Amino acid sequence: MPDALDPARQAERAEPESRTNRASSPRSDEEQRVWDVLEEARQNVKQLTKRELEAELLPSELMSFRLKSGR
Amino acid sequence: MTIEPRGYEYPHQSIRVVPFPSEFDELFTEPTGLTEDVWPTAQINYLGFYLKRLGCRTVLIEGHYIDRDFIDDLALFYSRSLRGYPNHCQRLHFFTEDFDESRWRSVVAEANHNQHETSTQFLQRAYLGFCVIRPLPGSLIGRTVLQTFPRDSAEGHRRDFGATREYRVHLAGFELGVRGLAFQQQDQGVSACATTSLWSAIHKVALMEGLPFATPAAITQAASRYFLAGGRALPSEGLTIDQICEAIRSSGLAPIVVRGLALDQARAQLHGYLTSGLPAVLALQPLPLTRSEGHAVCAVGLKLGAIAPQTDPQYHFRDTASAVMAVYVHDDRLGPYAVADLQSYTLPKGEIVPSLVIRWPGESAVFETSVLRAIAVPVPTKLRLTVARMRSLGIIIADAVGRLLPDLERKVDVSCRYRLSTEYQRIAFGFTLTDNGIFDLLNSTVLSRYLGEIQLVGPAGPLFDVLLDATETQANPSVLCCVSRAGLAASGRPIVASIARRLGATVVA
Repeated sequence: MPDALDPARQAERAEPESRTNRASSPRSDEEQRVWDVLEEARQNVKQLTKRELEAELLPSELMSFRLKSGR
Repeated sequence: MTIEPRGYEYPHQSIRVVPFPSEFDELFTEPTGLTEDVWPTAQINYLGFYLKRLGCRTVLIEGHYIDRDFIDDLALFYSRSLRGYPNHCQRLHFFTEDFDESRWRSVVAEANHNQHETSTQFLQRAYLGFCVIRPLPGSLIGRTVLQTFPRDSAEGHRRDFGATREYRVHLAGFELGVRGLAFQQQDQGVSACATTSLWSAIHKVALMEGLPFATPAAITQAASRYFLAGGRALPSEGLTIDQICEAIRSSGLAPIVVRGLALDQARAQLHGYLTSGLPAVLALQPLPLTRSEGHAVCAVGLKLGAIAPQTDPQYHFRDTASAVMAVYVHDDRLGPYAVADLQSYTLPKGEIVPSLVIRWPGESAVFETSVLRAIAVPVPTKLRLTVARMRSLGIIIADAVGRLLPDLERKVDVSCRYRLSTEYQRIAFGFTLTDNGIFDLLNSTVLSRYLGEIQLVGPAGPLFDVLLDATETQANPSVLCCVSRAGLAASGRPIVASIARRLGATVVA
């Protein structure tokens, strides 16, 4: 396939610098520090977010809770 | 002798103008017989009270009005009653301006002499909204759309009515507008509290998605099609949360249901959905808890104070949702925009749960206290990422930013909401992005129709936004990009770039 018709190659060429940001390993020590702090934060707030995610688990008795009040 | 002719005549239209009465119930006639309720009803008293606070001076009474919701209720239920219910309603329009019948005639006459725009402006400036009066003796208050109170209160708090919408109103050749969310009283024939609450919520979300508005009759029918656990569909015996979900699905939307577990959690959920413009049906269990059945209201807005300072030294951010003091609810036992304070309540076994304390506007007396059991939100079907999942990522990022930028003194405020990508693109022009940045955002960044938006704000303003693909179920890896904002100092930019790389996203600056 000629380059001009290859969508993958075209996308690669069209990609501006800011969009080539995705990476799986840090670029520098400073970046490693930021990633470490993110990981620390993840551990730190686990208890906070756990409860909010638990609230999405719905027991069947709640689903059959009838809402009916008089006027 | 001939048979008495019936059905040959058309009903009569008449528009009358009356001053807003000192007692609102003077406009109504008490139903005959010994009714179940006291007269005037709480809804009539509440509307009078609310309109007085809005500064209503004049009521224009449209004697003949066909209401889509009522005519559907009539077709499904009331047409089979012995009593001959008419198919039309009356409609009241409320104005802050003093005017009488002769002024109304001159407004019409002026419009007839090339002054239509001027006449419309006169009416629009004073327009507070409308209330459909149904021919149902015990449940007069039909579709009602009234203005909300202004954003800033005299007491210093803010009101956020993001879940309201614009309604266009046609009155005698004039087109007027009012921003609010439709309210109606349950009639106990076709609808109970859950139906009317869901009907209000769908009024907003259906408009966002270009879907037809489900009437109360359609909601009750859809809810009881597959989930009629007991009793009968009509007269309505209320809905279970399962039935509410079924009615939401049949309206072309998707239900998100979360439990009410704790005050902070409930605040966060309500803040996320309501600031995104998504009304929520709240499943309440009124006190005392010996009652097995609950009550439903529709949350429409938020009463906001200051964001609470972070008191736990373990954390390095503040939660914007901590500013939520109360929710404004459509409670069909009262009326639209009733204030419900969000508080904690301790159950007999010691468990602390969120509760709602509903009050009359401007009064300290409590109308009712209830435990908040669940929040059900009708959302567009492609909106799959929940607020809880968005927050689970947002709080990590906020805590990390608070650690990485100590100059902010832990004043990193995190909020999560949904936003249409088209709206985000439009407001991004005000972000002071570089020309390359805005071009990159608008030309090179693929965005879902609804974005999950995590916003981080510092003392100098917004720091950066994290945009999520709301069609995904997990917040990460669904980050589309991080957008730098004006409150981010130059020294913080490499940090945001590193965070974005860790999230697998791009940076727009």
